[in-house]
Amino acid sequence: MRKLTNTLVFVVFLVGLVIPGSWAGAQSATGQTWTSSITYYTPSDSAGNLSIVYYDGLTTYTAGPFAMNPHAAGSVSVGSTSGMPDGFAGSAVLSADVPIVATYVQYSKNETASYSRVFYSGFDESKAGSTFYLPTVRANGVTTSTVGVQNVESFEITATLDFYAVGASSPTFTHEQDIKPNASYVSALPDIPEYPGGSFDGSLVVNAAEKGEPSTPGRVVASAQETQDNGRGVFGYEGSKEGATTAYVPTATCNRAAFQGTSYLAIQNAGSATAQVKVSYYDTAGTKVGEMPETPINEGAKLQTNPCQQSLLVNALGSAVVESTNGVPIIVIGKYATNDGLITAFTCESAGSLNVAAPYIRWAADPTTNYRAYIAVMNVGSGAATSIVARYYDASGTERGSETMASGGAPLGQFIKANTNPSTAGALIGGSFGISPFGGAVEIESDQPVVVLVRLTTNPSGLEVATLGEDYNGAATAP
Amino acid sequence: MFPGVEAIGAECVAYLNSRVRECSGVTGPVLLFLSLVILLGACTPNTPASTTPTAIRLEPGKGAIRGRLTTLPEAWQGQEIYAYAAPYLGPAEGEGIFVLDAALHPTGPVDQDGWFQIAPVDPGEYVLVFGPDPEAAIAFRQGLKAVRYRVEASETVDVGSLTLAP
Repeated sequence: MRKLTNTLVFVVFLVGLVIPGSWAGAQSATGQTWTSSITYYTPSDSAGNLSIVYYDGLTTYTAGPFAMNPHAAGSVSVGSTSGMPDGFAGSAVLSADVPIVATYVQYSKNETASYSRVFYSGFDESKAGSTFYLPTVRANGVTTSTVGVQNVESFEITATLDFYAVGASSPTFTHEQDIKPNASYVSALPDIPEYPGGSFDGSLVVNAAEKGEPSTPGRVVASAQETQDNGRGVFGYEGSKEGATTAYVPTATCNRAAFQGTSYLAIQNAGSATAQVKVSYYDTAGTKVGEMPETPINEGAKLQTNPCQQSLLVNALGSAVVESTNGVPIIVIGKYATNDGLITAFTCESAGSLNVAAPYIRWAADPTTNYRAYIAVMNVGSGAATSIVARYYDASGTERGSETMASGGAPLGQFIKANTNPSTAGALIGGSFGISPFGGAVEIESDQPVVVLVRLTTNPSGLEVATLGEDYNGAATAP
Repeated sequence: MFPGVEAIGAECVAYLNSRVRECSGVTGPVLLFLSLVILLGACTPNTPASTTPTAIRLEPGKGAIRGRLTTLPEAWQGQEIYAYAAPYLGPAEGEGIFVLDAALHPTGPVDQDGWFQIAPVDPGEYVLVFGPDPEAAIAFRQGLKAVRYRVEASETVDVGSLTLAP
């Protein structure tokens, strides 16, 4: 049997134990019981094999190898046979002999349609680091963060989690945690023993080393989710091992439409000096409409901004570029919220790719019953893109439709975004995509580097909110 | 841990299908469970009279699972419902996890009367999961524990009538 080690993808399960009665709110996402799945996609033109190893800290479970068709888009749900109220809690490592990308999906166990979902992108090995940043973590009475840190080393590590309140130059509290190889530490902020109590709004920096050998770095990956304490929203994002001087925001707007959709940016200084940061906003026609002037962010601190502060992109769609003008690295998290229930989060990428895939694409015939995916593609290259094509594949790997998003006659300018979805691409099967049969993905091929953001929304009926949804990033793939 | 409870599902299956001899060691808790299953089935007033399921033609080296759901959750009304056999990963004794990939693992439709058949099924241990799709699906549990069923080659496991926890 072939050893499946060509591609490794790491995923932390962010389900956490809920203390019954902790959240009395009738619609508390924080009080929900969650379950999870891993959605995967192979951009390979050749068939391959996939194995998934699950770690719960005590036991290792191996699933597979499973045969995958070329361009297959699958989804693996996992549950525990024990009496634990939540689904599987732990981490997973996907290995394949062909390229794969993966997205973590988390949904309400008992009221799937009544609460939003968490999406974040799985990590390939190159994204792991001995220092890792999560730019926004909270327990402020509005939302509660759960953080997950996975050890990707073959040895046990000690991870030091330093939590910085907004504006603080030293950790507000610190937690040390031993983590076995490939296993994870997952906790809601208030459940961390050193949590000081009261409200917290800040960021997290994780440093890891081999247990008992502080001079030997240990690599980790980390992700976070926020659940609304008195609402149905939940959103997640993947952290970063290092900052960059530029971050791209594929979708930005201020008070758009009747639901007043607004984009928010959380910018964390990941360097060792004060960062000077500006944000440039672009409309969909290719015009830079304005910017947030250069603003200092202290070492380790976080700045929160949105286009409404400069009255930019008001009731208009666009994109943004965040730059550190003095070379100090930054990490940026984007959020989007409406007044009808939608609230999302995503990591703003620092570089684009000519080939990007998104493993979880759905289009419900009726958006009141399931999700629809809307994909934003932003050109982050040095010039106009003259060829961008989105191809949609079903679970079996069959191409169901495609959409040309840029061409010689209709180029996409630098820093400008364009949109696609399974409907406009003609990829629907019986009015839907990815629903039945279950599974579907999109692959973007471009002649300029692009970043891709997927927004999944649904419009449930009978709830006090009209829209639920979440964002996640497409993953760079080899051509 | 509750080893007695854990064994209920597998023993129950053994009793309900043709492998009666495997139930020779049926214990007190198992008998209690069987009684509950029978009572639950008998207390479902709106369920049409049973019909004999279509015979399953077993593939060489494969098994099958069949049974009946007594009720469907309200939210699933009007949707096509599937029964999935999700492989169990973990120790034979104790607890573990089960995984479900709708594109890879055995599945079969649940008809309007609740009958389902899943075939072919590789020999092994499975948790039964039901729903319109894997994300909305519910595992069959007794108490909080998912019930595991062992499938052998050339055998059809009749799990009887199942009631999903609300």
